Amino acid sequence: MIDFTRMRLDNGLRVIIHRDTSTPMAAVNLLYDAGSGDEDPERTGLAHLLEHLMFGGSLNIPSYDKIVQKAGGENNAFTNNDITNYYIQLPAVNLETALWLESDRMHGLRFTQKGLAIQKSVVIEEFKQRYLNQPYGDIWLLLRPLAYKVHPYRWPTIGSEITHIENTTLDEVENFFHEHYCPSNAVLTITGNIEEKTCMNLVMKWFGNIERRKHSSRKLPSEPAQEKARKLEVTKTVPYHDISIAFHMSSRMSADYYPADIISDLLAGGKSSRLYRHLVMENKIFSSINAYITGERDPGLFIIKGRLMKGIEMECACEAINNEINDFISSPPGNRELDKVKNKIEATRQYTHTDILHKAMDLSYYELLGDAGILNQELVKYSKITPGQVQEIAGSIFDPDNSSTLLYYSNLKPPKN
Amino acid sequence: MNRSKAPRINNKIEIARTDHVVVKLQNSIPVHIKQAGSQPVVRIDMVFRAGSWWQPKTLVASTTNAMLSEGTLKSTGEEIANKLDYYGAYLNSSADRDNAFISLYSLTKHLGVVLPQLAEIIKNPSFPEGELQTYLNRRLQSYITEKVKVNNIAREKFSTNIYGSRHPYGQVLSVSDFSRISREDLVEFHNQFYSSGNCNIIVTGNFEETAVINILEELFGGHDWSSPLTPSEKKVIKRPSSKKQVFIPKKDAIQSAVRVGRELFNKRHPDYCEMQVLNNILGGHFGSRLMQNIREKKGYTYGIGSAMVGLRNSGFLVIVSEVDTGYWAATIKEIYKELNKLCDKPVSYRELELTRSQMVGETLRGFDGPFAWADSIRNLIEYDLDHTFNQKMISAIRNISPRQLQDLAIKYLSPEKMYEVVSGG
Repeated sequence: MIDFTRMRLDNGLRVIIHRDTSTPMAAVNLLYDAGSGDEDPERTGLAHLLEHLMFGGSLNIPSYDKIVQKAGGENNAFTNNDITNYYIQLPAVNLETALWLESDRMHGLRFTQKGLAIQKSVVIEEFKQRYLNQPYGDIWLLLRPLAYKVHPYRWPTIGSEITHIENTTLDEVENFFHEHYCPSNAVLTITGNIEEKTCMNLVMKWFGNIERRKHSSRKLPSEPAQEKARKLEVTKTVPYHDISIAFHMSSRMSADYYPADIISDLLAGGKSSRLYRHLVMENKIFSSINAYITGERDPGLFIIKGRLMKGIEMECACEAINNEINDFISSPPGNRELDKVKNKIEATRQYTHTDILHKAMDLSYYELLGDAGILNQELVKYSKITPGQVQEIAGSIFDPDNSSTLLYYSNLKPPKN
Repeated sequence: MNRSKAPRINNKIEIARTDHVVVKLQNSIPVHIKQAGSQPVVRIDMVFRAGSWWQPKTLVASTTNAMLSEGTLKSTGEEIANKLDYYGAYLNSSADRDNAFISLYSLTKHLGVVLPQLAEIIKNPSFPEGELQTYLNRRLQSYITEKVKVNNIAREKFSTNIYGSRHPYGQVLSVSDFSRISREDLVEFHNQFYSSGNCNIIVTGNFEETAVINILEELFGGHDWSSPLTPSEKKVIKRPSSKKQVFIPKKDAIQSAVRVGRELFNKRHPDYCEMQVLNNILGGHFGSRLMQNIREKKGYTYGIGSAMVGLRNSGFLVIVSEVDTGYWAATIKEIYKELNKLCDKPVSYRELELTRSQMVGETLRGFDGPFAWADSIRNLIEYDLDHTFNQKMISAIRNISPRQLQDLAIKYLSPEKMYEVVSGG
């Protein structure tokens, strides 16, 4: 149970505060309800590029990083399809500095051509390092456009191609900032060794007079229901074949999300999971196998991914996954197997919440979903899921016509073992 | 309101507690205890001096460590996994060059049930033949996949260059090593190194202290798992390469991996703490000189950094980056420029104050939350140090002068002492 205080400022900013006196630190998390899903299809990667520019100085603070450093803090940010999330951890006595920094960035950025040029170059190197210069690094660049035809989840956060990043102009970045980085489109969470009242006053002081700005409302095109199985086959210079299958599933706030999450754990959560036991340890078809859900706010994906053992044919591996899925649909988990996964979900939450930063991130995210209190209610939702519900949802997700399969073939002859 | 007026920053932050309790079990195993955090969780770390330094041939140390949970005299690997998963507990095991670790994460309420399982894994592993083969086949595939990455090519070559390929810290794996290892190697290595005389235990989180010590005493405090052989110091020969600059071409590389560095020392060396401050200025964090110059001014890379890597019998400083193939020469030039600058000119007081604040904050985070505490204690045990080292570090951060930093730079960072590896195109 994580207790918290909530407030909404006149300019629309949502504020959550959670006190934890077991630490001398404080964490400040500022989430903006804007991600790569909000981009123009011709300017993909822009939300993430803006995240980089957010560290290039704001109206009254030329160097964001120097101030963080001076206050003994550490900061970073991430962007995904739905949100852009900024955070600082620092000694609690310096909390006000973090609020000053974050409020000034929200108030206004210093956009310069030079800053943009450098961060474009940094982001392009990131694109190369993570997606192009690694074996299997481009799987998501291929899988997303296979699974989504209309919805903006069809491109990855880094962008669909480097030229989009190269062609982005300063005006476009500034417009994105003004359209989305408004108080009413953000959630600020503060956790750690802080006193609620003092904290609220400091938030009022620094964020209270940022003008209410109108943010553009989100109207993302919805993905039409998939009617036929899709398949993409590629051949690359990698040592082993690899399979990725994406199935469409529910949105984050749907009741169907919970059984789907449980299914992913039953299939591949830990060494006692079904796919690991059967396909890795017993039949030795895969060297690694995984199942997980992407968990986006709009309908997301249920992913099954495996890397093949040397000498195993692609068809045989696909069939092995299909057999497991069919077994799963025909024989639902017993109570003990289900309890195991529920216990695991409970424990994982506790491990995650041993630090104030993760608590702050989660509180912000759940507030964005509608209510930070959902964080405390979810375990009950998981605990109520029955074997019957699991079976029903599995049946609807694992419809072959709902699948997009990426077969990633190796063109190398692997060395002899 | 005046937004240009900065709130006052307090940089006289007290780092109140960096110590922890140590008790000894009947058989003298030290148990390091720290209550921390507010969640009902416990982490138990078992630390053995059983890293690759000690192995008679390649792969033995890491394979022994990875195979512990694959079966015991009483249970199969599947039964163990089922039991741990059922209680929401998990194991994290790894072996590095000097030590082997097995960490158990558990909800405090289930510790009494899962801890005996940990004891069984550590004391009575069976190393089943079938599971061993599966493990080796999978590991070989991951090795083959990883070894083509420019970053890994450069890392291996760098270690070989500073220690020599026959030195335990310079040795690298090859495909043929995978067929040379047998179950007997593991059994023997386990008997010698996973023993009560070669073990430290760390307990962090929220728990009832006496209760946990009692269980640990019962499970690990006896003489039933001592080894007649204690690891004695080992004779090794260092043969650094005479070639200080190496380029390893890789076809179709889009980026090149760059490593520049040299052998130094570990936490036990008198200059260690002060060198950490110098390293921090050079490339230890986002605001460091390398990052500011090569990423934030030039845009050559997504990231560049330097680190002091500690080893029980050595240590090294290394600068690491991945850059577009067209930028690597320019990157190396800038790296040397930064090294020379540290040797030629004292750091300004302003920059030094910034580094002090940044490092004090980092130190504070190192003792925040149960898992951070466990890692900090582990870092001391590896070098037979106690918490007074933490005070020494804090005092170096607070007191070092620009002059001392320049002297250290001249002594340790002059460019002609550096080894350089580039892998890519």
